[in-house]
Amino acid sequence: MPVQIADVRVFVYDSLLSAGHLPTSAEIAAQFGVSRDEVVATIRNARTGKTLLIDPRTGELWMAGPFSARRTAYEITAGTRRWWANCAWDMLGVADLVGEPVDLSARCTDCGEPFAFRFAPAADDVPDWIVHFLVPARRWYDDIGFT
Amino acid sequence: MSLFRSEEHVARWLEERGHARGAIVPLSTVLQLSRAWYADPRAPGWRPRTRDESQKVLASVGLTGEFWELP
Repeated sequence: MPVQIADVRVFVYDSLLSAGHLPTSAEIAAQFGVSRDEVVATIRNARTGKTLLIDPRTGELWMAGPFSARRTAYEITAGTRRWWANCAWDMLGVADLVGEPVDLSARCTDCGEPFAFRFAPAADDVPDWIVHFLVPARRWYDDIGFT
Repeated sequence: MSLFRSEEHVARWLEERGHARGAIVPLSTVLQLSRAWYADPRAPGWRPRTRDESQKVLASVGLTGEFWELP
């Protein structure tokens, strides 16, 4: 039976949230008893944009929005679990999805001043910093990495 | 969507790189945006938002106008 994208999605996010680990395509394949190629094709064909985005060069997950597969300047930690986000917006998205107190760590993009903040679920107060959106919304999906 | 200490820091960073200014949004508004934008992808019935739904999310936190028009 072909692997279902909804099952892949739940598995990926469960792994991310419970263990802080973004599974490889081989790990997803092993979980569902299918080939790695089938996993890659299923994710690609689902076209869920940034939610599950495969790196075409490696066949591995590049993003599981708002989580980044790669280390970035936007780090979120809860105990021994650590995640990265692609931007300031996604950093807050990760913090909310984790659903428990997390530590946010980033820097001012200009001067490197550290940004460190303990974020509690449902909190509305965040430091008086700002986010600069360089690219207009009509071009957000032209080059996700640059955006 | 990069984090900055203040508008002065944005201006300096843009000038050094020759980029045009985009839009500056308080982090508190970005928090509202992230809450409205990201649903738990494990939820039953989860599906990607349509373009119009995403546009409404932006508008719901006051991000309207040409800069925020999705393709």
